[in-house]
Amino acid sequence: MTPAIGYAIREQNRPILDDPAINAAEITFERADDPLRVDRYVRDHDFDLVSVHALKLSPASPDVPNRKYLEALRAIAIENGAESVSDHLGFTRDGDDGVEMGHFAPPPWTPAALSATCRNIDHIQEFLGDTTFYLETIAYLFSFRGTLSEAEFLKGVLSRTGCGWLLDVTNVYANARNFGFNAFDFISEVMPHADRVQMHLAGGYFDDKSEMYIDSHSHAVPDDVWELYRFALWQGVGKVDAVFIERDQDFPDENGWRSEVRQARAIAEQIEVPV
Amino acid sequence: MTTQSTGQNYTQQLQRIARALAVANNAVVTPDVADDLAPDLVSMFTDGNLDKRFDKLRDQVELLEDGISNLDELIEEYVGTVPLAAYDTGSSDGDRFTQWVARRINPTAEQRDLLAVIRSRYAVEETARHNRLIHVRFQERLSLNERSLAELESNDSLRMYLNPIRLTAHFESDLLLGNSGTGGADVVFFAVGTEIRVAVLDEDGQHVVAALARNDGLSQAELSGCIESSSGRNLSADQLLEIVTDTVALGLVALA
Repeated sequence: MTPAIGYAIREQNRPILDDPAINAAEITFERADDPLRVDRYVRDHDFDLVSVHALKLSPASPDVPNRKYLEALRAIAIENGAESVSDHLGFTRDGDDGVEMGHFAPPPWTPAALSATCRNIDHIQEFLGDTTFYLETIAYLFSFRGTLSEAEFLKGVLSRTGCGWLLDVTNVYANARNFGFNAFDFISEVMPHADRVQMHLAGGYFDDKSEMYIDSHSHAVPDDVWELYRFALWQGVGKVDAVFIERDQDFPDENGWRSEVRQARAIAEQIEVPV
Repeated sequence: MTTQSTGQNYTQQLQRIARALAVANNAVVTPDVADDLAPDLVSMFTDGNLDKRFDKLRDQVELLEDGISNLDELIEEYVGTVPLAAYDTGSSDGDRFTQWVARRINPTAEQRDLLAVIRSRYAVEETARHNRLIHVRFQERLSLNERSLAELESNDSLRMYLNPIRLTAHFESDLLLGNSGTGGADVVFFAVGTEIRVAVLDEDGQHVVAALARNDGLSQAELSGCIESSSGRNLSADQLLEIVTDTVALGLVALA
């Protein structure tokens, strides 16, 4: 079955959300959680699938996310008819009464971090009940010393918690390019351990100074990422629920918005389940 | 090593990393990072985070540039020394910044008024956050105000409801009062849709708000009686109608 496909909603793409190629939407919790809001963030759109994307669950923190944040997240999910919630494999803070770094960093790939992450995800899933939780692979500029590989760590989390995998195809592409591993191997190694999968697609740029590919969400999805996306869909046949394209800067015109989501759909529709 | 001590070590490691990176004290994490090239990349990470925080905060407190000439320097000092607190949003960081500025610069009355605007707006947002259903129900009532307002003069059964998402503050100077020469005034901040409005109420307007704050859902006759019994002020029907019309038009009062 073809996954539900759509955009991470931004004000700039609202005018094209009724495109026939779109039947899903992702809401960024921190955007939707306006205390003065009166309308639903998805307004009157009737998507087949809505997912809420959070930025501050900080699953790799030493303690579980606080109840107030979880309750607000659940309220936004219910209000918008969302069936899933996602956040990133990383940490943004040191603890409940601690400090926030402003962006997520990857955890040290260690057994201690794996235990803390699994405990936190178990807690999140228990709180969310029927709302499925997906864990996103992040792009990072550096990593901390550890004894596991990222793939081993991620497989451990998926197997032990049963949470979904939000495979950010562009993040895997960026990490593979920046740290010299094979993105296709990474996906085929992890995919068997995920029961349910969502995907992110985006475009960034290569920064000459740092010699790093930066996942800036500022460009069209590059051809290499489309190729990796096609491969990931094959690997995940039967368990990919949704695909979301993210764009946060240098927004395209209407035609650009429409053509990119149509391409995501066209590729997904070419991947048929063998009967 | 026991599971408990492994967990404690992890807690300590993440505390050390997060507290250092939150204020770009990058050298602290050098022993933790995985490769030799990482220091430059750690800087790229923290510089990006601090720049983003600066921009968000600058937007949040833009109003202060009318009264604080070195605003950008203060924001830079703040983000470099005071880390974001866990779960901070742009608004809560802005609120904490205003408290920090109040301690940092010994503000004038005009500057205190500007800081009060930022703080009051945040407090109104938080009131709405903690009273979500009440906010939404009142906004539904407000959406019918235009039609009800046309009936106000002829329909005695219309009842008045005070906007529950509001707070009062006091401006010490004329800066934000159109240089009225009054030397300060009580003001009320309130939410209309996703907007926060501010109004200066004259004495009669304050009587209306005070009466509705004590007894919500009053008819005009009941409101008039309440004002008279609490303040001795006897408003004529025309005076009351004018005040109510103004407060309804502002979105401070809804009719139903």
